[in-house]
Amino acid sequence: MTVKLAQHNRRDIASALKKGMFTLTLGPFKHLVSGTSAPLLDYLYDTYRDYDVALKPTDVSEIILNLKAPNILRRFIRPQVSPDPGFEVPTIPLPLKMAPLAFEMGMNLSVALKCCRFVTVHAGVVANEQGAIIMSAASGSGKSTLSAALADQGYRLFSDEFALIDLEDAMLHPYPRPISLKQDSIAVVRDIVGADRISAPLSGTPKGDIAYCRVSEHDLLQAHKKAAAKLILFPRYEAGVSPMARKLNPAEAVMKLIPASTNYSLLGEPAFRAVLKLVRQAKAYELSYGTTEQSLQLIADIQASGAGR
Amino acid sequence: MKLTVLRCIVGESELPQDVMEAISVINYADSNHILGQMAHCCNQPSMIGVQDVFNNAKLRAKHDHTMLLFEMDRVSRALQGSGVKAVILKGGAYVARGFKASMGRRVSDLDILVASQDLARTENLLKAANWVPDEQTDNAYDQQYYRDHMHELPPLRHKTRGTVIDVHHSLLPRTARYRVNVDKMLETAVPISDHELWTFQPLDIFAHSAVHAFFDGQLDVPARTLVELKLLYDDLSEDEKAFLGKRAKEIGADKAVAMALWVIGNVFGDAKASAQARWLMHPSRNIMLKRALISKTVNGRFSIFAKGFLYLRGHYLRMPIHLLFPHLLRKAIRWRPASSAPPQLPTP
Amino acid sequence: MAAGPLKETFHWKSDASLWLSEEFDDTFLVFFRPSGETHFLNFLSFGVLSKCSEQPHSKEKLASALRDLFDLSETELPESLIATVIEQLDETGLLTPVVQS
Repeated sequence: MTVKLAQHNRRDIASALKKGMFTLTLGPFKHLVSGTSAPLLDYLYDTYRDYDVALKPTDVSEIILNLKAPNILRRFIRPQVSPDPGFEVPTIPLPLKMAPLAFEMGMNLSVALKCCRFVTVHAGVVANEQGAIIMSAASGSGKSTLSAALADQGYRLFSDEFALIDLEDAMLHPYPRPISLKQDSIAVVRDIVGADRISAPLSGTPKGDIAYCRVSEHDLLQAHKKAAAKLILFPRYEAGVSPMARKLNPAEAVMKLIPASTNYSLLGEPAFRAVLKLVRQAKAYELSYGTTEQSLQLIADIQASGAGR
Repeated sequence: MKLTVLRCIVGESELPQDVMEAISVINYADSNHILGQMAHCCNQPSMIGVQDVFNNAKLRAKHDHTMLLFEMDRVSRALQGSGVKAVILKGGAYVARGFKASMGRRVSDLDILVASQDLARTENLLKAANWVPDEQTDNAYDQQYYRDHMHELPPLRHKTRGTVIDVHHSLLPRTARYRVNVDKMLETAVPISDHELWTFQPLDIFAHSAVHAFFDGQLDVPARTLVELKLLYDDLSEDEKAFLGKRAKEIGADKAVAMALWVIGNVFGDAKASAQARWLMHPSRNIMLKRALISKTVNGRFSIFAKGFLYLRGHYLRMPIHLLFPHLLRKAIRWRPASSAPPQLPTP
Repeated sequence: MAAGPLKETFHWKSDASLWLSEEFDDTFLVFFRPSGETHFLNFLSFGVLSKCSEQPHSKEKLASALRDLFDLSETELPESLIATVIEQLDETGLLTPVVQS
């Protein structure tokens, strides 16, 4: 039976995780997770409290994640954890207290490399009644902060990590996992959404300080509603730069989306057709900015000019 | 895990009805790189979600096949008009021939075989078409080592596509303890339509797979090897099967083929294969190897011992002792991570 | 760099059933089925591709046909430029030499 995680007994959840029967349903995916660490349980209990969870799988999931000790010694001596999505990936074992990071990384790897039902693009996505905004950028370009800020302005958060583009109609599917925040962005987003929604920061990770922003209950309730894209943005953060938006030829936008996709080449022709549909229905811009306010202003200006309609 | 899991993977028994059991079979197939084969062999599983998992695996393999067929096209273009008879080996051959063994099979590098006298010319033509020495082996020691002792050139990587090709002039290392008659195999090679490329005839493709499995390497993924041999055997017609033992003796691959047939008979319950295996080799031969193989496949009680045995045996077969120890030592000292960049992964 | 041996006398062809194309303001996205690659071509490269998909052409024939098509002079569109485009398209596999018997 699927109910919200917080409604399950903590001991039952621990036992389901241990037996590898913990099933998390979100957007288009079911995730089967196994792991034994207390930090993982604490994290899930807090940040995933409103997600649909079952303690016994009723069918086979595409995404199977095993958070295991890298070797038998590491279960007992200075315990470590590394995500195992069932195929060989270069992952770094992390200290046990960083189990939340291992969990989120493992989930991202699984979605990025295992799922072929969507064109998966590394991007933040938010949407309102007019349509969705895709923000495709490398890590450190502020796309998570931007996603959180737009979600705070009333946009629905689809994901701060993946645009899931439908192969048939190029619609975007919501997949609202917690927003991952690094270093300075932790404080920035805490000021925007409030301290209650930010997880306890992990310090000293390979990526510096990391915290997760809990997704609003409202966004989770809407996580089954797809949206058509209206804007494709390629934000580029550069300290001190004067803010600028440059309109892109759709072909250029495609050539920028392809390297940001984790499975475009795997999917081949259907992906090409879907991405063409996407750039025909949405306008594409490259944004340069130095602060979150500037990027929000650029996006507001583009929308006001009617380009986003 | 029980050995019967392999029968389920090749579609000869049903996927378990229990969800957790079904998941563990799928996980086993995935971690042994045979989920794609399973996806093609299992007919219409009714459990929800299995079809998605299978479709993912099929797509992945299909993508590999596209890449590999394109590489063949490029090799054919690079050798255009040269008269070099290049024979596609292993996975590439299964794909080119549309064998059942290719369905769902992951393939990465392309392996080709040319006659020794064509080796230098082939290398030059490929280099002229933008293949360069792979940086992992582009050092004096490795280059010399390959050329002195191996049955292939140091791997070449295409500069823009990043794909790797291994150019063989023989099927086993120069230093190997067993010899197969490559010239006889080349004589009966069959052309691939649309390309200036060839593959071995089906019997020789099976024999080569057996030689590769049991006399060249360490059986890293035995489950995959066993499934592959089984599917390749199924691809042979009854007439071909009848001729297999004789052909294996002709080309000096009888020991390997006997082992392969033993596996197919024993693991997959094929009585005909068992009978053929007995004709080629007494059942008590190679008992250690058989035990180690089974143990490693199912990760059984003896698997740590089995892995050690198979590793040492793999090296022992490939080179004489006076070369083996310096080589292992060197490998141990000069170990380094793969230099090819890992795929660009999203960060949390 | 060419994808294999090159001869001045080669005629070049392209099988249009193997690719899909879409035009956006004088630039073309071409999806090539055999390689699964998406290529970004300018009008000149796409011109070469289209011409060769009608019938095989030699380098000289291509140069003069494209000069006519785009209304360009010999200095604006020299044969050497066509040679470069041919080599690039040869490497992608979009263009292949016709095997002369």
